[in-house]
Amino acid sequence: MIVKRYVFDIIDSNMYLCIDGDYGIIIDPFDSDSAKRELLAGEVKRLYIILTHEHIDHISGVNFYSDFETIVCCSKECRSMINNRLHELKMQFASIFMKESAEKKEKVRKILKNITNIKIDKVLYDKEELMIGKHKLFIRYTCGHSPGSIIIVMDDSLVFTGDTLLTDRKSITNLPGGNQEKYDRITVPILNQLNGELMIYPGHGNIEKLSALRRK
Amino acid sequence: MNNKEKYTNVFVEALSVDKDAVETLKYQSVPEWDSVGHMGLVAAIEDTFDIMLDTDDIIDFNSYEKGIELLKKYNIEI
Repeated sequence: MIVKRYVFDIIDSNMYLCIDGDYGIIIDPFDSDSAKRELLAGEVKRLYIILTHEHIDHISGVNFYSDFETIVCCSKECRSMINNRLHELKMQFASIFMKESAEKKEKVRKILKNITNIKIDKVLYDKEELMIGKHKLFIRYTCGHSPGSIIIVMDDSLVFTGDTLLTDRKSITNLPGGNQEKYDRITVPILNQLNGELMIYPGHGNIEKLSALRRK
Repeated sequence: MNNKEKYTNVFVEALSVDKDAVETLKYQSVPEWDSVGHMGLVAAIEDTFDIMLDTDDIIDFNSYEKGIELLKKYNIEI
């Protein structure tokens, strides 16, 4: 399965798209006409949308792909944050752009306006194995960057790490809802257990082999 | 406490700044009013006046003075 990376120009977050037969998987969606064209060209019928965590740059496009039969999945904690604290999440996102250009602020306004009524269809639990077609997705709950963070190991060959593990900087745990103690106690051991041969598909930055990252 | 006092107090408490210095405050004019401080400030204003600021207003709220102007939209006169 080919995994395509799309970069959200406004904040450099990564969205990933995989298509296999008539189903597709999107990790951390943002609005992308190009991704939608790809899905249409692939004649995708069923689209799994998986959120690595609840931050706006990783969920903003959930409703953009509603032309397809979507199944939106995330952790229980991520769902709770989206259902109960969406305003705070939007405020957090808006605050990042206070000093940006009027043009960028306008883009942010549009993005935030479109984020309403996000419906989560399936909760993903720690150590759950999710089969999508012939592909196996293994979920680990990795809080610390945010309460609802997960990583997704796919086919024992790659791992979507969201902002739990980045390749170009340390994961941030000082945002509201972040927790360094939990990150160190719960998440670091999980990351340490990952096979070094896995390719890391991070929430920001470039794709890299885990063993290479560990050598840094 | 009138609305002006409440509004001033929010800045004093959320940003840990002196009461006499708040009226000239602008976003990033003090280290405490950065993006994280901004979130705390907005949350404190919402709690104090029992309102929910529109995201447009959260982005536009870049000074003490601007906040007064924005609060008028929520029928809060300062």
